[in-house]
Amino acid sequence: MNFNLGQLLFVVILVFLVVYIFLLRTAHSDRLVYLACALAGILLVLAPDLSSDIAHTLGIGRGVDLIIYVFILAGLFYSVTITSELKRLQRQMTSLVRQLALDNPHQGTRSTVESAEQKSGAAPEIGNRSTLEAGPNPQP
Amino acid sequence: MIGRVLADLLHYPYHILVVDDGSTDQTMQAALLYPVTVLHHVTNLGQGAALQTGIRYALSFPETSLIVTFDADGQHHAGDLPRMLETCLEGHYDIVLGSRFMETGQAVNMPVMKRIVLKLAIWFTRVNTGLKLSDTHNGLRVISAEAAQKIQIAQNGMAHASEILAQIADHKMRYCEVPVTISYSAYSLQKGQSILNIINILWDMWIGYMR
Repeated sequence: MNFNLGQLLFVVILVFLVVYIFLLRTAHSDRLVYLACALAGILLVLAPDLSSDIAHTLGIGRGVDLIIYVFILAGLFYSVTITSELKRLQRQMTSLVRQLALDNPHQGTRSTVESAEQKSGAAPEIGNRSTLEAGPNPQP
Repeated sequence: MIGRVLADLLHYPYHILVVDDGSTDQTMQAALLYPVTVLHHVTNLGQGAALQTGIRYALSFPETSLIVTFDADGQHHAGDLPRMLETCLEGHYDIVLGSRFMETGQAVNMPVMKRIVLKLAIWFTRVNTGLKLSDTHNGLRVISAEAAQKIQIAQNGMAHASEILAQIADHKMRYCEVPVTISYSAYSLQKGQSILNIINILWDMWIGYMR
């Protein structure tokens, strides 16, 4: 079997990737998935006809098409996973920031404005204490 | 601007709570010159998150009976509040919504595009929740404490307005609308939603459904 330069290059890159994955301290299941992908990549680079054969058995035109389809599916799966992970992180951050805010209420000055402002107001008799809340401006 | 809004509100004997959503422009210091309570988000989360924080804080006091949401960009008028609060108490409503499109309501200096988008939003709400409202995206609301317990704003961004409406429909809350005046200024328009943001809002709602 003769290997050309392009194949050699891809294999070297993928081998580096495999080494890198092994150095990563991620969960074993994640490492296994990455490893399987890298090994499949090496196999496909070394045996270019393999992808075409698989494509044909699946009724897909060319091997390249098969790889494109698999990539699109993988990309979609990845983006859904990332989105839900981002949502989870955002929920965590929200509750963290909210708890910090609730734990540290700041009281404004009680005197100056109150006397000046309140005597001019035709204070309506509502009979109930209401808490009035001003939402902030959405930041650009 | 926060000062002007607070000065307007302080004509009335309500407890005022300002939620500073990670402002970097001394908003909190400006607000603290007034007899109000300020809660500070250490980072910017969005208006929905700020409202939820404020409602949570207000509900932590057992004497709270009504909660008002009031935008801090000067578009609302504190003068509309007594009428809304009275309506809420007399009609035993769960929530009273301000409407700029009711007969005696007003929208001062409203850009045409804004009117079109808001009308679309009204139609969208009708289809989406079945609520027949004349103004669906008005920041001025009076919420009873019991109703506020039920409302959980998970939408940190601007999709919270639609989210609140959806929860009104889900919980079959008693609601009504009261005409209010909204004044658009250069400041409020700059701080407010750009038309393009409707895409973000719809996206947020879609993501919200998926969860």
